[in-house]
Amino acid sequence: MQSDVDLLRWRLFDLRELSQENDRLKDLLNFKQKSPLRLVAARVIGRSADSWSSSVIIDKGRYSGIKPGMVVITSWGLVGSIVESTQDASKVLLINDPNQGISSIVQRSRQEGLVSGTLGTNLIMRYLPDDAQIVIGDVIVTSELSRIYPKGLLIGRVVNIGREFSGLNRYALVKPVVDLANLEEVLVVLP
Amino acid sequence: MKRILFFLAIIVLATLELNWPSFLNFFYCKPDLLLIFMVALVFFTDFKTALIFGILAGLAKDVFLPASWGINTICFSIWSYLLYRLSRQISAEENYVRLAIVLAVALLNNFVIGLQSVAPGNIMPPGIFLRNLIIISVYTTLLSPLIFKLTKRIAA
Repeated sequence: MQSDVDLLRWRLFDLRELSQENDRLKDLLNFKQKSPLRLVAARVIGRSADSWSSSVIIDKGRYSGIKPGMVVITSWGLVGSIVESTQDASKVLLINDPNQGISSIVQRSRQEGLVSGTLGTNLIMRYLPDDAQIVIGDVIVTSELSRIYPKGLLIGRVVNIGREFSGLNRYALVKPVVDLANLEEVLVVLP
Repeated sequence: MKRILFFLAIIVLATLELNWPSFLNFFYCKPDLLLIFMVALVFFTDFKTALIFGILAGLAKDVFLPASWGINTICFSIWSYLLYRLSRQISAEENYVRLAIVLAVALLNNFVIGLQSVAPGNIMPPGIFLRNLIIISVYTTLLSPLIFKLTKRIAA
């Protein structure tokens, strides 16, 4: 009797996991069908080997047409960019890595700035002039000045604004819309 | 046979680092298992084996990092050599001495990697730098007895 209960409990957990995966994949498929972009879906199979960088490894590579420099998104917003690809896997540098620099704008006021990662939960938007039109809650999207990112991809929302140490510029802390710590499936944008 | 087992240990530890469960992270930090393995090799094997597998451990780490110019390979080989020199000067038989050595190496290694992350002008708040430096080093030190046991068993 007890073993039957254990078995059923195991199956219930298994079904719950499958149901959640199904929901996520449906969401991605829905987005992929509606989006004007050419997208390839991929699964996250590994994370950064240390805590000084923020990256993930995905299960699609050159065989699926993925090359370095391509943009990675989810249905929520921007995730990062491909930095290296092999035949069947690729490395994605996430937007919260300090080596990322994304030319971006405040959607409401079109104020420009540079978003980069800090390894923390928030991103930092720098080079904002003293009179920058930016308030807490503003939405930050990629700008057309960005070399690799398409214009208008959602990055996050402003959660705090401060003044840089030099006193010349202001900065804004941006909370990414994508949960970068718990990525499971992503979409790679093909050119 | 031992060399194959050391090689397998590097693959297993690298895989474990890549798939380290997020619920085992402390403040977004995870331990550096390959660094412990490199230190353990100096304690339990001869210099040549320690140096070769230390370099391989660094290489295994670099392969999976976005910055691919081999900083871990360089650092691990330097630490292996310096630890070998140190182990000839002092007695590292006691557990607390070994833990202190792992802590010192972890702090040095994380300091170098951290500096390399911010050197090109990247922004990293001092709090996050210190958090990474201290928590990764302490977490690595706390887990080192487990890797020491594994290395000792393979080397025996």
